[in-house]
Amino acid sequence: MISFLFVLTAAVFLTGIINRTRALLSGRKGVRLFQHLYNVRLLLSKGAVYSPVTGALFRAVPAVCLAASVTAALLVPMGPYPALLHFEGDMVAFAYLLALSRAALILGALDTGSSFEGMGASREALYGALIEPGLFFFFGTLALMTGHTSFTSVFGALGAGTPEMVVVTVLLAYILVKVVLVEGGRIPVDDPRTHLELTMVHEVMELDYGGVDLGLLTVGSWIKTASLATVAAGTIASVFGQGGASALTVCALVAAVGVIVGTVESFRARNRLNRNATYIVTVSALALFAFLLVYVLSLNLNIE
Amino acid sequence: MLIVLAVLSLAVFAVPPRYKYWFTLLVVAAGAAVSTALALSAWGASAGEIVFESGYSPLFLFDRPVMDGLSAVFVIVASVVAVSVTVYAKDYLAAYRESKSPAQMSLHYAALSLLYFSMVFVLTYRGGFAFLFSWELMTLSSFLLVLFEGEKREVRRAAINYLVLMHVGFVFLLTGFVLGSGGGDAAGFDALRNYFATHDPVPLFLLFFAGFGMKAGLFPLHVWLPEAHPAAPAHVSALMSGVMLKMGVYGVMRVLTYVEAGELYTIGLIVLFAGVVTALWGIVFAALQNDLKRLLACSSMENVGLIFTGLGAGMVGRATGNDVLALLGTGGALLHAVNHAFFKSVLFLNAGSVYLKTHTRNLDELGGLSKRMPVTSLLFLVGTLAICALPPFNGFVSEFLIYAGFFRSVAAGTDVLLAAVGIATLSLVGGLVVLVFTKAYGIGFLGMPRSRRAAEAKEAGNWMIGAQVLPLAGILLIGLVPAFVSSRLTGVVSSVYSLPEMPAGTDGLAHSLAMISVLAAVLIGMAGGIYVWKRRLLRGRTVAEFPTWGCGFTAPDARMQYTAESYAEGLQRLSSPLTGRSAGETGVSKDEPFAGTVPNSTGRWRDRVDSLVSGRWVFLVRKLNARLGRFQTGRVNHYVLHAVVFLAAVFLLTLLGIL
Repeated sequence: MISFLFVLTAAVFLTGIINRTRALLSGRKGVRLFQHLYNVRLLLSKGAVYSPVTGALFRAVPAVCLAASVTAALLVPMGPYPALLHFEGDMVAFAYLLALSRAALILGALDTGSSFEGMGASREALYGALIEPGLFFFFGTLALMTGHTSFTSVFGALGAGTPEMVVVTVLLAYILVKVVLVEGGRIPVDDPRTHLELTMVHEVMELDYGGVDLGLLTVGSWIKTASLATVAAGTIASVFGQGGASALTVCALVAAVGVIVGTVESFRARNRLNRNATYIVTVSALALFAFLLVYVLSLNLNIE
Repeated sequence: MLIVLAVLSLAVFAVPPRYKYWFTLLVVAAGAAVSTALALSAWGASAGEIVFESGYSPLFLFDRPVMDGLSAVFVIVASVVAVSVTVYAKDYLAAYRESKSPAQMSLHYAALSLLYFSMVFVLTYRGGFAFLFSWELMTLSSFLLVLFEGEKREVRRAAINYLVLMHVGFVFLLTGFVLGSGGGDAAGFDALRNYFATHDPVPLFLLFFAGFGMKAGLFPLHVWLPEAHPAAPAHVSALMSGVMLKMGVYGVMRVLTYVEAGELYTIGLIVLFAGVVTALWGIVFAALQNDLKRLLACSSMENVGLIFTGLGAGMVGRATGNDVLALLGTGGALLHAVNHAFFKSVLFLNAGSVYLKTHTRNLDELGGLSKRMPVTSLLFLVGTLAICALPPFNGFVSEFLIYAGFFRSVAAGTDVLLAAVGIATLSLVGGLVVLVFTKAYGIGFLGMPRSRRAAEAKEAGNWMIGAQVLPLAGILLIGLVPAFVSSRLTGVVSSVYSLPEMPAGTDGLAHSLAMISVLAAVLIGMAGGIYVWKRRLLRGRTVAEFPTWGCGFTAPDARMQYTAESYAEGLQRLSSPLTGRSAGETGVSKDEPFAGTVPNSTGRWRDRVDSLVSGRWVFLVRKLNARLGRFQTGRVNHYVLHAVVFLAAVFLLTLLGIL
């Protein structure tokens, strides 16, 4: 239970932290830490505008997206604290729940009959397909390191091991931060603040949602990002020792993920769109590399 | 009993035209009821299999049909899908009543029920002759079914292509059985046990693998598949893709039961890599298709690939004593075969309804169907989500099992690299399936109608919709209560492949499956709850209508929508080394001021293997024929000369002791 509440809290704070980081780094004072909450409250108090092209599916998509994100969040443990639901193989379910929310959003976008949204949907589908192996090799590496296939038991068993394993853990966390950037639609893959429909990926698919629907989608994407960030934080928290990964450490690390995302957004330009595929495949390749690295280490070869 | 029914299905020729359909439905339903009952009893039988004395007939050279767990699973699936497609055929074929003569209809009906019965025979006969007889009957009846619209040139081409390749496959099987009998007269599956015990199993297995793989659509033997499925009527495609491909899978699974575990390592690797390549090839080509049924056919290839990936991994697991991987890989493969039969038949049937109502299968001429054909669209959506392996539907459960096998063996540190290959394939394919099927559903059913035919579409008939109740029930049952079915299937696998029922390390499996049910319930409950809550929030507030945002452009038009081609463009760029474009428009030239005056690109993505396998050979054979044609002068004296030369040659060869 504590883990689920933590993910929800992280979802609330993370966007604020990212915004504040960007503001400070660009020399602004920045908006209130919880400005985005007020924005969503405003959205939820509005009505809705639907395009006559859209059908029932379009209206159901926000609910499905949010429900899939929240269900995925149920599986995420906060460091060593167990998740609300956990079972052997829950990593796979986690990945597929995120895929469900992505697929729902894509279908909703295609229902509007807009060429911009089709463009965004096409990109999102491709990027989603290319990042999937990265996510699964991340899981595979964790399974190889700990001998477990559930987040909760993995993070329970993941402890400070040899220096090699610390390096691998840091590498894994790095990979997952990249996954957060890709799945969350952040720079350098996608720019959440762009105003040009032609270059949007994630944002363009939400263009025709307004009011309550947009609010639900926004909350859903916060929870998705927070779940991934919590997994990243849990991974790297293990460096501080099995017992040392206290709640406070994990909190600080999730905040650190927010700061990193904000920093990247302040100093990097987004990729050219046709470079994105390469960028994402590189992340997946890196995950494969981490997997093989751990495998070679586990073989205990004596390389002279 | 079943043989009687099978023979009876030929009697449809004698039935008056009005009752032909009902007669066929009756025969198929009776057959399905009988064989399902037998399958269920075999499942419950203590010996694990039952032998039927009644099938002991001169027709099949006194071979007794045997039903064990493996046959039973496939028989039940075949029966469910067969009944469902036969019910569906009523409205679908009604559209052809004018253009087809009663004899043609009878032929179609007879072939339909024969296809079903031959599949049941394939699944139950183990003797070489009876098996091959049923196998050939299956090929011929499906050939006749594909040929239904034989007046179209491409249908004839696809059907002949199919027939030829199936017979190449048949030769492989025949050779396999003859070699496997070791010269004895009892050719058949049971003779293989002896052969495999005394010989190196790999070469003979490869023969069977090629023969069965031809039917299953394994790379590079798949070239018939994307041609034959779109050419056949919808209910036939559903039966062929949903069930008949699985006969190939069944054949491989059956042959593998006779190989001793120790010999399986190489074989498992071969199966695994064939599966991996098939899955990736299939899904990349599915993404490039703009023809709805062709897309579904390519995706069948991908699913067969996944089944073989699981099966191959399971066999390697058996060889290395990794029981967890063996049970979960093989069990997942079997469950995926069942799942694919259910969701692919739903998808094909609805694609058929769309074709019937719009007369096009081109995604770029569809669109907007979710409003015009709401129930058909909803059913297609369920199939879409199931094939994308998204919870809470059945595809997720079988992929979960296969993943669980891979992840557990990674966690246990055994067969790690192999599992890594499996995980990479499954995850990449899993991601691409979402792309392919959001394309199929999003472009084909959502948005604005892209042509007048789509705009005027009407909802499909009640029979066409009602027919899908059975497979739909299967999708929901397996998706929501996975423990119910998958524990039975893993039971079948462990008895057929003599694996421990519950190898150490699978103790959490039942718990995992139960938790998947919980997860599905939470997901559905939450989505429903949020939706209802949203509706209540919106009550009393303004819910306005406003055109889709067009970047300030105020006259949006169906032609401005994203097309099927452009949707897959990103993937097409990445996969361009594998694909080549056939002749057709390649785009708008720079000198053309108005893009609208140039017709949309009409080229089609070619399968390089297809052009390699069929294109080159056909070319060579034609060349050879042209050379040989010179001898065919039409003059009697030349022919007499040929005969004399032939005789002289035979005489000389005998004399020299060569012949």
